[in-house]
Order: sequence, then C-alpha cells, then structure tokens
Amino acid sequence: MNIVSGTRKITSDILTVCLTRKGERPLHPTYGIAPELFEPLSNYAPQYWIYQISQEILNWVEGIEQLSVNTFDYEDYKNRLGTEISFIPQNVPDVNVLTFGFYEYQGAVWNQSLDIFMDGVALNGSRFIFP
Amino acid sequence: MSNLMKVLYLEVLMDYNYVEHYELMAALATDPRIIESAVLYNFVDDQMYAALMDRMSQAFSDGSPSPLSSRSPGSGHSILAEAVIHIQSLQAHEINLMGYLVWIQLYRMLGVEIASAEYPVINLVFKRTFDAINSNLLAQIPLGTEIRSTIDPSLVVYTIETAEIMGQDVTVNVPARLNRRGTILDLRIGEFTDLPRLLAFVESVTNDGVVYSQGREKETLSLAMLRGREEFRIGKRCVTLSDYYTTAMQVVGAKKCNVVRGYQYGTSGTFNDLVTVVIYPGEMTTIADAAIRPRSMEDDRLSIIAAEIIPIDGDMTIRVVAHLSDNQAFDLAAQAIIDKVNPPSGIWQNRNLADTLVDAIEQVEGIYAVTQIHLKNSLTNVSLENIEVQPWHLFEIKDSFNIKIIRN
Repeated sequence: MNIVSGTRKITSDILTVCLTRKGERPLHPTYGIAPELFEPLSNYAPQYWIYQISQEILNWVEGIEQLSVNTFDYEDYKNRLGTEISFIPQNVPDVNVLTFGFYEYQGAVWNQSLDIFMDGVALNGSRFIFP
Repeated sequence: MSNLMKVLYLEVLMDYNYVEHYELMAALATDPRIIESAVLYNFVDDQMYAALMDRMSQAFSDGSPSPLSSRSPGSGHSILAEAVIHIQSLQAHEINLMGYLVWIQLYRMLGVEIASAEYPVINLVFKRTFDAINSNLLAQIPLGTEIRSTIDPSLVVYTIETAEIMGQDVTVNVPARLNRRGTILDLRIGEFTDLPRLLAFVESVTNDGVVYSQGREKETLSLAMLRGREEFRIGKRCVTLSDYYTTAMQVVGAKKCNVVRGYQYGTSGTFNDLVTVVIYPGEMTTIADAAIRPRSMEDDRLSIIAAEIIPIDGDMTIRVVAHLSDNQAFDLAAQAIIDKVNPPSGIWQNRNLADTLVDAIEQVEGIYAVTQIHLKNSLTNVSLENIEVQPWHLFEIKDSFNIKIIRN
C-alpha cells in the first residue's frame, strides 16, 4: 500500500484540489478549482486568480502553516499559466515549492497526454510522482 | 439484499417510467389531506459518508493507527468512499421509485384498469352506380373494406359493418375505423375516397365529416387514479337517489340532472318503485340509459328522460343608475339571465321563476329594481301562472324577451 504522509501528503492534496473540477465530487460539489475544458485563461486576471486558488487550498488542505501562490510563464494568447505554490507545513519548518503548468492540465485532459503533464509537475525542483 | 428487495428491484428494472411516476406523485401532492408516505429506503448521503469515514479511521486491534485516518477530501480513500456512497444513493433512489407495472397491478387489485387506446370511428358514404339502380342490382360492401386517404398515404380506414345498397337507395352510411389509435386531430371532409380494390356496382365512396367516436389515447396513471377515486366514491350501483345523480353527472357527464321518485312522465299518479332520471342536455339520454340501467337495483323501475325546456319570453321593466347606457344595462341583464337562470343553471320545476329572475337581475351592480315583469310561454303564449310545472321542466328565457329600461 502506498501510504503518503508529511510533506508529500500535503503536496498530493494541493494537486488534487487544483486538478479536480467543481461538481466532480458528488458529496463535495464545491471542492476543486480545475478549469473548465474550454475555459480561456483571459477570463481571469492572474492577481485575482492567485488569491482565489490560495483560499481554496487553505480551505480544503489541512496542515499548512503558510502558503503563497505565484504565476510564471503567463501567456494569455497561448492559454498558458505556470503555477508556483510555496508552502510551509505545520510539522516540518521548511519551505517547499510545487510548480506545474496549470492550464496545461486542460490540454492534457483534452489530448489524453496526462503522462507528459505529470512529468512537468515538480516539488522542490525534482519531479513529483503523483501518488 | 433481502428477497423482497430483489423482487422490488427487479420490478423497478423492468420498467422505468419516470414521467408517469412523477406525474402521479404530483397529482397526489396537490391534495394536502392525503396521508404522507414514508420513504421506503431511507438513505442520507452525508451521514452514510461520515459513518464510512469513521469506520475507516478506527485504530487496529494491536493499537497501531489506521492508515486511512485522514478526513481530507483529497485523500484517496475519501474519493473511493464518496464514489461508493454515491452509487448506493442512486440505487436507493431507484428502489424508492415504484414501477409503472406495480402501479397498474395495485390499481387492478382495486378494480381500476388503465383504459387502453381506442380507434376513431368515422362515417363513410358509399354510392351505387346509376346502372345498378336501374337494373335493381344489389351493391354489397363487405366488412373490413379498405379505403385510403388521398392526403396522407399512411392513413387508411376499414369498414366495421357489412352493408348493402338495395331497392331505390343511392347511398348507404357505413361506420369505419381508422388504422391508428388515439384521438383524431384533423379530418378533412372528402379525404377518404380511394378504393384500392374495386367493389361491384359501387361508384364512389367519401367521408361526410361525421365522427362517431373521437378515439382515445391510452389513459395515464394519474387519470386512472382520479377515475378510480370517483368509482370508489359512488360504487358501481345506484341505490339512493344521490347515487343516480352522481352517476349521471360524473360517469355520463350530463350538465344537469334531476332525480325524483314516484313521478312518471306523461301520466299522473304516484309510483313508489319508479325512479325518474331527467338529463340535460337531452341528447345524452341514450348514453345515460346505457350507463345507469346496469347499475340500478332490480326492484326499482327506471325511467330516463330528457329535460323539457319551456321557452319563455315576455317583458320586464328595470330601473338602472343614471350613468349606465341602455346597451350596457341590457348586456348586464342578459348576462345575469345566462349565468343564473337559463340552463344549465336554473332550478328544476321552478314554481317561482319570476322571483328567481328578479333576484338574479337585482344582484347586478347598476340595476337596482325590477319594477314590472310579465312572463309567458313563447310558443303557446300561455301565461306562466297557467303552466303546470313538472320535475322535468327547465325554463329558458329566449332572446325575444323584452327588457325596458328606465332611469330617474
């Protein structure tokens, strides 16, 4: 059994919130923040989007002491947005940085290239294998 | 799953008629006095999910903590538990639905059946050839003769009687049924003229627009329920006079009905075992006879007659308020007569027609008095006081009634 704990568990929970669409979970219909399949990135101002996603993560993921969300590689016309989530767990006082291409997930679902998408998910600079 | 559950579940699987089920539930919900039913398989999603998560987070018997203790909705076991609960909840919903066939069986046990769809029946006019009339040759139209529509190629009628044209007759009327069930929507006169197989000595055939039966769609569950309730209310027999009344009004569909015991139409005297049912409109008498006679008691003699309508005219003077024009006052008075005095309103065997009329008119806002009134039979000119009113009499004020309007 692959039991996840500690920092890896928090990382996994953050990723699950980010990659689940609202309404996907029947008993938690408000859970998740993944974009709609055809939702354009230009719908959001990144500043507002950063605030919204950090609120969602703090709401659903337990054991986070501090959280900050940033974007990189933001290109509206290519519908591309890299996400950098830094968090400090409550138990282990060190900073962890999770990065992934948020809107690439749309394309991964659409093109069924989830493996390629998962290759791009990195925790502290090294590839994070989604449990 | 118990055996009963399995049977019920299979029954549900057999027929998913959600629309009928929800229509029936909606029809029941409109009556707030009906007893509420408990939910058959009570399943609350949130509570079941919480209970399952509690069970999974229990420590093992050796004291080591459970690896599935996390309550985070992001954890794998929570996603799995949620899916299980959701599927169980869907199944519970299915079990709570009662199938269409189950309803039909319940209604059958109570003696109510779903009325099946019926064919429309129309009239066809067959015409014999000139030669056949001259030579006095018989034209025969066999049962099941097919006549096609000239407009809709899929529409066909079949004769439902054998008919002959003989003697000096030129035409004969034959009832025929359409080839589809359900109510007839748009039938054009002269539509059915195409005889695919020639009939000896028959020149032509056409439909003259007479519809014997409109046909009927299959009855829905909610309609069957309502009809069943009415049947239980009155039963299938007529014992008291109010049973006759209810049958005539609700089963036959008469607009007005009077039931009296002891009077026989056309004679004087008292007949204790005679029930006389008076039907308005009078054209429904035959249908009423067919519906009521099998339900009547063996010891009761039954007479079903049409209402007799006595046409009344005469003159009346009414006083109206100053600002009302003559036309307005006349319209108001006429509307009051239509609403309250003329059939199907009005009273059977009304010995005080003048009072009824005055009351109806004086209730109208703007007319405050009827100063003078005279009523008479408009055909025989017999004054109202001299008419012997019988239980089968209704009065109808004709449009030749003269209303004089004064104001001061």
